[in-house]
Amino acid sequence: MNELPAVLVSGVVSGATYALLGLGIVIIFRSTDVVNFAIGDFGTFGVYVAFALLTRGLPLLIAAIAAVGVAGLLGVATERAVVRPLGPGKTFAALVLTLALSLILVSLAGQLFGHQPEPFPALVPGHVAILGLVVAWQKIATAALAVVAMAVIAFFMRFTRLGVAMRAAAEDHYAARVVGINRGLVAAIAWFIGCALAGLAALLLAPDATLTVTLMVAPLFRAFAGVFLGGLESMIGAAVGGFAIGVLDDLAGRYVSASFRDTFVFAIIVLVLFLRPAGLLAAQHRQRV
Amino acid sequence: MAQARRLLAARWRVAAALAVGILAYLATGPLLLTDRYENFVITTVAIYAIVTISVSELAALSGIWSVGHMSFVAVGAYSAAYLGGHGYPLPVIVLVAMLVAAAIGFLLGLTAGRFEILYLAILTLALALVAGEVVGRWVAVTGGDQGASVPPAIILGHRLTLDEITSLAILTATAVFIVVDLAAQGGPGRRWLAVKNQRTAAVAIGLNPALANASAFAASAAIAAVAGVVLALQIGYISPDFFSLTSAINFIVAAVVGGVGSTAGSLLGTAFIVVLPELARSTKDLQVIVFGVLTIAVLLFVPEGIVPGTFRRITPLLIRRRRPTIVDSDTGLASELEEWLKGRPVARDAELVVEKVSVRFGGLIANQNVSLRIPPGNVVALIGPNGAGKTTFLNVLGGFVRPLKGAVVSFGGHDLLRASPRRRPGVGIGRTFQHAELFGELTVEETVRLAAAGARRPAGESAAVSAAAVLDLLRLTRVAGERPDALPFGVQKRVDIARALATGPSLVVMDEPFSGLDLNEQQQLHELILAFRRAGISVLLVDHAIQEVLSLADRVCVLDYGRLIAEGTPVEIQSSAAVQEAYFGRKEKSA
Repeated sequence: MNELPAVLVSGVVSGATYALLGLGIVIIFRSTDVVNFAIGDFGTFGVYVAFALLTRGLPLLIAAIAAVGVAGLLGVATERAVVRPLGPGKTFAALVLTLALSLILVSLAGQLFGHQPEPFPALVPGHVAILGLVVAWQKIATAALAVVAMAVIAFFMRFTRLGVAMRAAAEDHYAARVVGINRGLVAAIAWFIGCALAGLAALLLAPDATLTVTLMVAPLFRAFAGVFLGGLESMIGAAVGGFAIGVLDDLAGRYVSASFRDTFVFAIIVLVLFLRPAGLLAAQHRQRV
Repeated sequence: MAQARRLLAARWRVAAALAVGILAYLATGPLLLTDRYENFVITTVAIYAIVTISVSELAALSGIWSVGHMSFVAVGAYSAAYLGGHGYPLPVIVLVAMLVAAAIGFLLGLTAGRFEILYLAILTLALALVAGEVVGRWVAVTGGDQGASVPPAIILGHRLTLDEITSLAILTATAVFIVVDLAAQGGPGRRWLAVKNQRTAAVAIGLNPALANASAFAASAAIAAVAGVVLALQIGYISPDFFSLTSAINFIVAAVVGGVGSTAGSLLGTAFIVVLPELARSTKDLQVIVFGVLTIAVLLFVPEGIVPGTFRRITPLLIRRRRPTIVDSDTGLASELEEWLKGRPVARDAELVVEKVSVRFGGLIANQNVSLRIPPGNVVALIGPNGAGKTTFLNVLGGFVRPLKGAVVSFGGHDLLRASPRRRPGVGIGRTFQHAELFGELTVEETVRLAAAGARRPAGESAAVSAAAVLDLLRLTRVAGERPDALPFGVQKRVDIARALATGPSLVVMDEPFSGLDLNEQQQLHELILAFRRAGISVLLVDHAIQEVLSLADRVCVLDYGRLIAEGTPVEIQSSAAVQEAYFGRKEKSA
């Protein structure tokens, strides 16, 4: 039996979540120059909140919205409380700060919700057969929701005043201030969108993986790989890179070695960095420190 | 003076490291002041401090942040387990571990120049993840998730006891701290800092940036591997848990919290990451939360780290810092300089030959068929309006931009197109920069000495002597101990000239030497360049300052839109219609 279609589908589906995370990373980086290493844990935390709501009998839809919203609001609060006071131009200190935040969030989740893996229900239960291939509705929903979310982001960035302002601010912080763009607002929205996307990604990953505090560690790594493929500055690049890593990772896991998947992904990153330090899709390399 | 102050400080730190090491040894060993558990904690601090200082100094000296140093610790630890299991003695194990780690570090360091600090940090983070995977899955060597037991260490046929391993850890840490500090303050540290501060200027004095980064990373990785060997001996049993991402991140936190590049800070930061968790073993989540919150607090409130932050606050109370002094009087400078230059062992018959240099960036032609010659001992000026292609031409001379086929660029018979950029000082080409481009973390004396280190000097003359002579000649001795940020711009530009001079050039290429100087400084520079010429040293001036250039140069070349539009004596250039047009526009052009 030919497994390739199944592997490809599963690759695209996991790639969709990496793309969401990668998009979040890029949006936050472009607006605030911060590589948010804690972004996955914001998502995990949001899903834990959703889990708590579910166990109290609230409907899945409300819980899901809460997951995304909580993740986004946590992001906004973090940006305001600790990232902004750090000051601009401290790229590495900011990375260390988010590493510390990641530790805090994981432990806080563990303290509040326990370290036992918890089952999380699929958003859409059941399976469907497409062209002889049995696919879980959850997988289809994952890919669909991810694509819809990305389309919404694209629309927002392209056609709304605020979105255009955010892109302008990302291109040139100083010039954006000169023309009257409120940097604080842009930063807050970027962190909300970025972390909410992570919440959505965590929500989509939780049913398959079961909910643990380390839910997002492996996906985050792959999302970063995708961001490298596409370039830290490119939103489209991050999304495309995420899908690419998802497919490559699953192909490697199936046909190369199931044990050395991270190593394989790492090899791809190194290769890309050597060939195109600014990412495959980046037009031009810009130092922004 | 500054040199002496720094050496004194270094000596103090060596003494302090020795004192701490001896105290720790006495307390844990012969004096029996500590119990088993305290010994364990002290040993752990000693071992981890080795890793922290390797991470911290790499960041401070090379600007490379490695989040992946836990991988090198793993290399050391698993070498101890695997090679020890095959009966190899400890020195062999240490050597192999250091070599393997250094090789990986060297390769990573080679790539450092290509990436921003952030990319490299994330690249090393990925390395840490991969190391975790390899450790977990490469069962034959690492024992996989089950872990591997580490056989007792054997030195000269003697099996080390646990107490002896504590002593070994303390001894190793003390030795590493002293060696690292001396290296950081000495030649390697100066070279790494120069490359970190100003890559291009470092190349212009003959340093090899890729090699500097790679050697720094290799040394750092090898040190971390040593820590890994001792760690394995201490705990006797290693598993992937020890090399998790969290522990990799811990070393970054230790380095940042203690203070990057501070030896005392490395020890303090390590105590922070080791002792804090030990204080609250039962409530692991709470402990991590406190750990994270404290880290963020340090980042926000003492961003330079606890040790340097404290020093910065108390130093003004202890030492009154004197204002940097102004440069000494220039009386007699030109003639002294001329005499000195005449005694230097440089080729005085080298001619710069440039023929048919064309450079294209996409559709833009930056240089088109540019040809010029600088005969020995001549001052040639290259002028042209903004965007004329002067910088591109400089970059071709410097070896940073390759011209199209058919070009010739040679100096004294050396084909410069086939020589790497850092070979320029070796063939006798010195370079100064429009914005001085001094090494921000080196003093004036260190900068000039570093430049002199690679230069051809008279037999028996050390780099320090030759640097002192250059500083004295250029009246910079009184600011020798200052860093560039304490100096006025005019003085910075003179230090830049001193740096170029120290490389022993027979041609000095000067990029806008007059810009940013006041009238007095311009006059001094004028005298200086004339002294070069009288001593048989050629000068290429690339500048806007037409008047200065016209009164100095033997020949003037004018670039416009990438082409040479005029070449001749200053008098000919002044009357050239083409030059008038390029600079002031055509009269009839009004629409």
